Amino acid sequence: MTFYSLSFLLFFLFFTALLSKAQNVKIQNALLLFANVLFYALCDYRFLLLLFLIITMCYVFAILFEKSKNKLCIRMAVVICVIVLGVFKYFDFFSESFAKLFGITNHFSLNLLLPLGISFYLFQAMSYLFDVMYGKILAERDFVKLAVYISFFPQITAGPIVKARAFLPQLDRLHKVTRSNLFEGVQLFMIGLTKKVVFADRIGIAVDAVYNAPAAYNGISILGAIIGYSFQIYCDFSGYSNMAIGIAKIWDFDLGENFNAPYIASNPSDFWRRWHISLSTWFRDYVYIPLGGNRKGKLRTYFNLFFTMVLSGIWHGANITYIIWGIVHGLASVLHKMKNDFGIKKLKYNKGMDFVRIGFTFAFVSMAWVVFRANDIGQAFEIYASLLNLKGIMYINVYVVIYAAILVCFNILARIRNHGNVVVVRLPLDRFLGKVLVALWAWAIVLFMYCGNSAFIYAQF
Amino acid sequence: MKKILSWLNAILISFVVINIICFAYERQAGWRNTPNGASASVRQPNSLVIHGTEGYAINRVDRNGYMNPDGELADKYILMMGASHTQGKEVPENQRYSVLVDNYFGDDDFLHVYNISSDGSYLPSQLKHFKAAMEAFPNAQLVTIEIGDTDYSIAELEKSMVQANYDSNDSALYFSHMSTMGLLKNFFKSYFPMISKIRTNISTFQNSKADASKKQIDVYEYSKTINCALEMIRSETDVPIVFIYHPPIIINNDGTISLEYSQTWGAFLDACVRNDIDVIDSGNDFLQRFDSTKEVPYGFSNTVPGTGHLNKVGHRIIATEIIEFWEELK
Repeated sequence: MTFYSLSFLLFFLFFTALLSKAQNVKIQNALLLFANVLFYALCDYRFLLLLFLIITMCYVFAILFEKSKNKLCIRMAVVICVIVLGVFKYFDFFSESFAKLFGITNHFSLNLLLPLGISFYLFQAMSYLFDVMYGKILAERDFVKLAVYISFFPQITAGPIVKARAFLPQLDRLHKVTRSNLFEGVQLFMIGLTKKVVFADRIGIAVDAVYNAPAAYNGISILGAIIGYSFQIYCDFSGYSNMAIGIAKIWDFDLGENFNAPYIASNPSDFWRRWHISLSTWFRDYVYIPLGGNRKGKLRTYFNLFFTMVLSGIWHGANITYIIWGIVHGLASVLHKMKNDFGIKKLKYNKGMDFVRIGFTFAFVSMAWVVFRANDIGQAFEIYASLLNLKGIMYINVYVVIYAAILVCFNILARIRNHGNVVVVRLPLDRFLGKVLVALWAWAIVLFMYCGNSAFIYAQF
Repeated sequence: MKKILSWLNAILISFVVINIICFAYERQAGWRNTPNGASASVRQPNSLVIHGTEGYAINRVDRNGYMNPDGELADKYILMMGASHTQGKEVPENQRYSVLVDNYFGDDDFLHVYNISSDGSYLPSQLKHFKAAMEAFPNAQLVTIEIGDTDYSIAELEKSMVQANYDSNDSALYFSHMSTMGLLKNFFKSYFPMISKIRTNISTFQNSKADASKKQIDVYEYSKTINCALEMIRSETDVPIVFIYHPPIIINNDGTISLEYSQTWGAFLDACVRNDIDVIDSGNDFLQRFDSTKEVPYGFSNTVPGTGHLNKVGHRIIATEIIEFWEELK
């Protein structure tokens, strides 16, 4: 059930009506849980039991920890989460890789289906466990509340990964659908919808065509597809995040921000402060800092940084391409840190230099996306090699050009006018002009949307 | 109540604005089915067709409901039948293969080529309207029938052999004697392109979920039926008939392209030979063109290369083939 289907609209309106009638927090939380379970079941009911078991396990182990103060309780629960993730997501990949390495022909495979949203809800579950262990929150005694947090439907399929300490307190108050939340939520949803069905899906068609047969296209077309993919994945993923955040906002929940104009980042570290913020901060809080962060000397800092980035790559999926992508970003982050540590004199700040840095960072990130997008390393190399193709089909998709130009304009605005923060459109919906503009915007989505088959890229992770 | 009215007003005003924008992006002219016409349907005469979702072109419909340049029909002419590829609303008029062939005959004001193609009118529909087309255009010196596929069920082909009885009123004249309901429908089709776009979006979305796999056809049965169908159209006229077959292409991983022939192509070709009907197979020319210039005959800068309708390259290749065929015929 995608967010932009009629079935979702009916589902959402039904539960919005129910929630607004709820008179106390407990009933509202129970309704929220019912909504989450129904949403998950409608998407894929087969793994509901797994979700329930994970929630129960977290609930029990956190309480056990609080009673015994034995960190082993939390560690065991985290290990179970990691094992579950490993079995479903990585077992076959590592089994196959191991067999290849040692020339084993008959290797063991589980051939399991990937449960919907497993990477996201397990990370939320671990966030809860860590937050309890670090004393940021108390172990939750209300099972329903914990279940609502881990299974919250707007973000269960593709994030953002909200931390327990940020979300659980929100379940202590009654949520009302207010006019300001509705206006903000609807506009956030529309921003996301535009990014997904107008921008990402159209660009995706062009990118897929080139990636399916790179040898047939000339270098300019390949470059167009590489840049196109950078915009596609941004619009696709940040579009989903905007929709999820918008839906939650209508119900008076704050999921935080997940993107902040990542393509105006001026270095690789800055990029990770702007891209998939909820995942980056998860790794920072629960991996990088516990490993020692930057407190244990330079060498250890570099290792921590590199290790965290590689883990982030592995999180995306069981493929060598994601690991290499993580390694590449890890190396870039380490190099950038080394540059700062070893005092390579910073060039005097000026806007021109700033845009050069942004350009270089964008070029690096885009080139790294090639590995991320490719089916295997061979295809990634083929794409890089095809950049030198002098002959081949000349294909510059007009939608890629138009949408890229629009996104570049928004990014320039963000850099120059908004102190490097994403520009968010907020129309005054209590005024007639605002209503006309938002209705026009909705019609424009209908006019320019892509109507074929398309799934969210990050839903596969 | 006031708030609801305010929202309704906003929706209405914005719809008017987006409808105006839609005129420049995607505007279909009003059209109607013509069961007894020379083709399966005609468009609102003298209207503008704007197509921006695949390629971009603004084309004018002629006084008879077909897409041809202005001009009187010459005494003798080539009649071109086909579906949306021949109609060529994705390319400007001067790039359409029917117009390119017409230009070959000189730049006088007469039309030496007349294009009666209609959208979605594939092989069975061409066969069904063949007799009517011959009656409507008796002075044709050559009839070309464009097809991109020959795989149709036996039932579809048998149905096509029940020929349409030509009725000259059943075409453009309809538009000047329309019922109020018909006028209203036509008005909406012509002046509210946004409504057509919404309908198209819904059907595209539904089609994307449909099973696109091809059904297997009993080639032996097909051979017999297609032979009867072609025998039938052959008996309707003495002028040369030529099928223009343009197979879909596949862009391969190794950078080459290949052709994807219909499973019944061989049987269809045999039936053509048996009935003295010529065939132009554009496949080889598509391959040669790609080898020399790396240009593909299908697809546009706002779609995907190698897919969808014929682009200007495809139209030019087919125009050249028809001209060469005409030269040989002379």
